[in-house]
Amino acid sequence: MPSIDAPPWSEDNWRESILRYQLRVKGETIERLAEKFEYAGDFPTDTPVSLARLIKHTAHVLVDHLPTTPPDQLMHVNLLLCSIAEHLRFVDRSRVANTPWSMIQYTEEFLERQTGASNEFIIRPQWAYNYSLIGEFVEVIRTKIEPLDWIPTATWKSSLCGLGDQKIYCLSFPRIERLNCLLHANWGHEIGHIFAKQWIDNNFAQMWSSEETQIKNRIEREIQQEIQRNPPPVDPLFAKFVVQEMAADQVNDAMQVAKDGLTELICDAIGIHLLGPAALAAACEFSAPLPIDESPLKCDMYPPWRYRIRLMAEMCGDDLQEQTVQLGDVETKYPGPVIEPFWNWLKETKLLAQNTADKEALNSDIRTREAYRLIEDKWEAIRAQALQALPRESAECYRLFKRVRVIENLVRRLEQDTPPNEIGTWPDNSPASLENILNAAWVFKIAKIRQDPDWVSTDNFEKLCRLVLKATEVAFVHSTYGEQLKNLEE
Amino acid sequence: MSTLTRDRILERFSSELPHRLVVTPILSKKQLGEASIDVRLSNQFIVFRMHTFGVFQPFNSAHAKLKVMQERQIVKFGKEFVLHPGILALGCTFEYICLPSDVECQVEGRSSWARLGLQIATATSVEPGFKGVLTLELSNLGTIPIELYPGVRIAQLFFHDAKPEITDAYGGTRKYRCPVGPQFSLIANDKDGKVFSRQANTND
Repeated sequence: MPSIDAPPWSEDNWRESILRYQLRVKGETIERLAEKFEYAGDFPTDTPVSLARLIKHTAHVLVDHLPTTPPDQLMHVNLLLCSIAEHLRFVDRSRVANTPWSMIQYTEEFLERQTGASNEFIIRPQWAYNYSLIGEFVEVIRTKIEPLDWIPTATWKSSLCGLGDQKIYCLSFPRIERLNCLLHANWGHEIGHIFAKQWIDNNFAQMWSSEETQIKNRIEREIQQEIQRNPPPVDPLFAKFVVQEMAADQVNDAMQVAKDGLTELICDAIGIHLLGPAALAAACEFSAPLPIDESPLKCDMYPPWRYRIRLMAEMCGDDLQEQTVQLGDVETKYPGPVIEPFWNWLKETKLLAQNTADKEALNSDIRTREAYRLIEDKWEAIRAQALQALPRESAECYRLFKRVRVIENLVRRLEQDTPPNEIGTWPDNSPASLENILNAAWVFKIAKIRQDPDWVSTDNFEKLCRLVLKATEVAFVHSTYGEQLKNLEE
Repeated sequence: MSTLTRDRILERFSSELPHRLVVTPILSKKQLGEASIDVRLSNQFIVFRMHTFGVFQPFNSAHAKLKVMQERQIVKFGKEFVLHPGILALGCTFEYICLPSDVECQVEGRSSWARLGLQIATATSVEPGFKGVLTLELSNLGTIPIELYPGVRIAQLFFHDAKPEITDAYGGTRKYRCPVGPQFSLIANDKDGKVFSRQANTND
């Protein structure tokens, strides 16, 4: 028999009692799952373990504070636990067997060098055929924890054992391209998102507001002309409001087109700046099966690929010129016989860019026309500003023509079925950089295809990727341990 | 057959193709002996998954089956790979090797490891023209587990002249081409083995 003092049954209390035990079990399960990953030991670097720890500690703090969680917030905690558990899939997928593991350490080191030591990158495949950058996870979780006033943010942060000051991103690549390390030159574009976001956050609103009135006036004028041609089925008294409403919507669209377009274009610029023609080549191959003149309004606000390739080719302009290069005391002809087939192939991007179908698509709608007019007016300054955020040692754009000898040396190694991991011969040898390895691989591949279009058999291409992957690993170990070993000898 | 001494090895490093000898990377002077080169242990291993397989019939098992019996493990540089007594694991050299068509090579374990019970290689001869990393058959013949670290000097290479020079060295039908990690056995490709194997005859 229920006691006389027992509170009357209520749906809220009933639901609360279920949620309290359910959330405890859910949270502890997430902790245990994350801990499994923490000790799995089959990741190419420690970054996936960092994310697993972040998730484990966050789940622990949420479970720990369940007794003080207000009843009306339990559903919110449930959503939070489910969302952090979803992040575990990034950890799970980044195991050695799923990644081009031999290039992960060098790539991570390269990415951290460009973006700062506090940034860490998980590299994982995704079944969607796309490259992407997700995160940053610490910030994402912090913004979800901060509003929970029964959990002091300081408590959460101190539970993370130093992870709270890190930034963890997830860089994804198409699963079916796992070993296609040449295409992974697209990662240059992806880390560009970190710099693009920074530029957009700091500058876009101001830039847009200084132009908005004029853009709005032009859009309104065009709408008015259109209304005169095709009057809407409303009372003429309301026509003014219709124009205003349509203009507001279109200005908003134009702003989004400009913002998203600039984001992608800045990313492209960062990719080219860091990896040079290899990034352009990877972008060309990636975009080849796609429509390249599609209006941003029809493809998630992305700029047309032709437009992007045109800007990337312009950035590679110096590498597309025939020239005499002074390398030390020696004058060298660029491109020279080894690089020439790749150089010719790259120059064809200029022919691609001469076609203006993309610009016609952009001009056909006032929203894209206005957005890209603004972008074109300010692009040089924006790009320069965005590139300034790179570290000082990356201030100079990667130029193939300045590395003719190095690239030739690496390509010759590939021609001998040898990994392009170092320059020179022992004892005058030094590890090759990731940028040079990727560019040499592209030079080699395109030369082979130009000689024989049937060269890209699975065997040949796999062998090239295998050698390049081996080269990146060896060069990383060489650059990490080589100096220490030399010092020991001295 | 004469052994290449240090000076001749160095000379071969900078010879013109196709006579160039490649051992890359050499990370320290210590690797060069008077008539040998020390090579380092890579971070890839193939270990046996004994619980997944019964008797292995070398000439009657698909290659895919072999991959059920063995699995590849990657150990980060700076971390250890523990080889337990009585266990065989396949490792490989960190260095990638290209032998010219007139040089043959012998792989030998280093005696410092042998004294701990570690046996390094059983298939010790590498034919002219070979390109790739060398698979090492690592087994612990001692009684205590041994920690192995990727990057440590594990074996020695001795080079010998092979005369007369071989045309199309290591070409054509060779089984192991440009490997960059330890290779699973391709014993099932030995057609003549099937002639003698009981399993093959039983199935006829």
